[in-house]
Amino acid sequence: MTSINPNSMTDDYNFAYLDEQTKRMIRRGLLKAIAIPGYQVPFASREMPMPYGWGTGGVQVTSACLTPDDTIKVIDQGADDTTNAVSIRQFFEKTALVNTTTDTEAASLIQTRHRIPEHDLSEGQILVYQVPIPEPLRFLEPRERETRKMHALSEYGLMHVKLYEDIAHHGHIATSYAYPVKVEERYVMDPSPIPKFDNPKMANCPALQLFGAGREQRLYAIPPYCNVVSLDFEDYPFTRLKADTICALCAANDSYLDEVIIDDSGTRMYVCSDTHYCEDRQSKGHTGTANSLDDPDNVDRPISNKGGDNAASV
Amino acid sequence: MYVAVKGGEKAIANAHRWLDEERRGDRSVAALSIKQITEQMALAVSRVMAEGSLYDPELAGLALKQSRGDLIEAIFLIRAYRTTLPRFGTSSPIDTSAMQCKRRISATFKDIPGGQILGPTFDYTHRLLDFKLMADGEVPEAEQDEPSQSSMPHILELLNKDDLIQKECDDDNTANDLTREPLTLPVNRATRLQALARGDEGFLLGLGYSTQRGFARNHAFVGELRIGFVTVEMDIPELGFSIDLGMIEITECETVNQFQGSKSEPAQFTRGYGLVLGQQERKGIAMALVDRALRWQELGEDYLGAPAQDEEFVLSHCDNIQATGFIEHIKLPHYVDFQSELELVRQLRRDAALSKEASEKAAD
Amino acid sequence: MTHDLGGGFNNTSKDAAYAFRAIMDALARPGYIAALGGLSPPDPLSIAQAGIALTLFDHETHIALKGRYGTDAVRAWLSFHTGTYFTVPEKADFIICDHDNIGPLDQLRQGSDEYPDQSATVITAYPRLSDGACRLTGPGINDEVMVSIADPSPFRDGQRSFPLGVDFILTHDAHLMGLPRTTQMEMC
Repeated sequence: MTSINPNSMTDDYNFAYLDEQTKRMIRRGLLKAIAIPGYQVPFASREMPMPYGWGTGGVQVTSACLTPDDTIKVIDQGADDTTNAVSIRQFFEKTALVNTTTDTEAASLIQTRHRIPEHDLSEGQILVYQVPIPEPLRFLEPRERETRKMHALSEYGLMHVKLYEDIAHHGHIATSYAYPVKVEERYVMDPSPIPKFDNPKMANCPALQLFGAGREQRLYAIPPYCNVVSLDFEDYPFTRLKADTICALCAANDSYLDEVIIDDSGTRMYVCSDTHYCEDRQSKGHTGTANSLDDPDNVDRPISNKGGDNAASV
Repeated sequence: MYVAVKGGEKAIANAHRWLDEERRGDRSVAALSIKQITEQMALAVSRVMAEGSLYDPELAGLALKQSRGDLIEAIFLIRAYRTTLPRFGTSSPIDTSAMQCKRRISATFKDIPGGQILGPTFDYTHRLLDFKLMADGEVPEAEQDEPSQSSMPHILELLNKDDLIQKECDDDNTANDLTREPLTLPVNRATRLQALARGDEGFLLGLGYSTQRGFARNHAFVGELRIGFVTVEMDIPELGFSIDLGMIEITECETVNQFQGSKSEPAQFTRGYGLVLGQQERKGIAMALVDRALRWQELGEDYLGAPAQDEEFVLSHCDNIQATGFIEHIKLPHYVDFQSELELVRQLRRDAALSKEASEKAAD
Repeated sequence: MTHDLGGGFNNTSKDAAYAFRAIMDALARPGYIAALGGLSPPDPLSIAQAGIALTLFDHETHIALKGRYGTDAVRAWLSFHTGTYFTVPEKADFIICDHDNIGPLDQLRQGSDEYPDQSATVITAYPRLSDGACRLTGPGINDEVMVSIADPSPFRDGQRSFPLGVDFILTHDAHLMGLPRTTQMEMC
């Protein structure tokens, strides 16, 4: 019968959890992904101790890349303290004993779900994206055998037709997140479900961007300083999109904002989705309307953030 | 003054403690032992082993206890544990004709060499709640015969002697290990069967049923269904002989399906195949139906657009751990995406209002 | 005859993790010279070549040893540490060779239109890795970088058009530099 140590995780599992053979397989895949920017490399994704769809691809990529000297940051929806980000960060604290941080600039590796941090990334940093559906053509053609052929032939007409139909129907391209990009003028790539506000940050980025889709068994990459263009039309150019206001906490006018409903009558406030960016600005003295002590409305009335599951009380 | 709530870490820790509490339930009731689960919930254990792809009743029992009886959660625990186990090698193919059968039936022949064995089945029980089980559940011990040592030939091999049924030839294809290699389509039948063997029972049940109702109907009879123990052996090249690793319980089902024939080939029955770890006869039969439907190309049939014929559809969606992860992940926060949709919808509505206003002005 | 099988990683998982980061850095930033350490492989394998081998080879890879690398001692050392299979260059995932012995690239695996990743990586020794007269541009490079490659043709003649192709890792002692298929090379 199998003997298992019921107490410790680190004693029973390899550095950063995955076994060496699995890491080698992922590492070989990552190198090819880097050599062919935007191309989806199939890999034998393992069954991880967290559910598919919750970041198993990103976790496997991170695990294959981590060294004991790394300092990692994990964000979900831009925030370090959302439950899934906390859970993944704890996983690497336990299995790799690496340092963790919430500071974007101090992190050597950042695993993210759905956002690119607001701070500019720098050379030597790695940004690992969790990807649910890596195939940008999947919603136009459900069959993998077909979409693979389309990539092979650079046959992206279907995507342009879809975007054009959007314009005919709505007057705009009706894709606001997971907005497709073309990498190095060759592969159309899904940037993972980041808001299209973040798309321009992928282009000419000094950091290495790695993408892992566990359930769909795909890896892909954007090397540093890469040409990444959001698909658009000459007469309908790509535009970024965010709430047309400033952060109620730090008054930032350049960051992506979450909308928070603060009372039963539906009053809203807008705050930075990137929690570290917001805290950093506040610590440097920037204040918004919601935390200004001069505002009598805000002194006696405690406002709780009901916008996300990080407020879950149990 | 607004303070963003930072509860993630504490919330998780508290939720897990609450879960432990609920799992234990009323402390005045004795806790379940793993032995009780493996002995008395054996079919649940079978399913966890089959879909978890790991033959270990004790671990499956533990997973069931830990998951509070949630079968897919238990399967998930087993899969995640299985991934971490080192691979020592590949066992030799099991010989199911040497099975020690506890159940063996054929729907196509009234009597068969080796005999029909009804075995421990729910078939022909009347589905009436047995309130005696509510009291203590003790039953008198059943009398036992010596296990039959006579050979148990596969019934379809009898038809084979007259060429009445399509021959299964070894195509030398071994199954890829789906847990170690990415699924790249199309796949060989061995790999397909591997995916089905670990596939979700409910999904295969529905798909198999759909073939009976006309979505790629293939008129199946159960040629033979057998449940019992077989020996697992492994060749050790260094030793020069194979060693016995132990016995596993499996369910095997072969269906006899509508005959095929053409101008050049005389009519012949065809077959579907199901093989599952443990006692899992519903899954075994369903798997054989789906296997048969997926063989349309090899058997020269038309593609009728039925879900059960569509290899990519079936293989991409039969795994319940993949499915449950992705279905359930939509409860994770998506407010960044939702926010961008919200802004877009607002923009579209603003534009629509403006153009409506403009056209009304023009009409005035 | 017995071979010295020592000189591998001391701590497999951590040493391989450091080595991989150096290799990935090199391929993600062509022209950047990374370094590996802590190995004493049998001649003529360099520290960098050995580090790449121990980080990436195993029983799922097929590799080819060309020219002076095809010795029993090298084969025994790589077998012992990685379990890799040996094959001819035409079928290999990885090829270890010298820069003047790469051979025609059209004989190597360059992938297919649908799977361009199923292509070879050549780990080739190079006499000097430093600044030089060869201008590199392309993904991973901020504007341009100058390196000491004397002649781009062994790395580019016979490459099929992107996305197909062969990728290179140039090595010298403990140093390595990546040269993926996307990098444009030009002598100045």
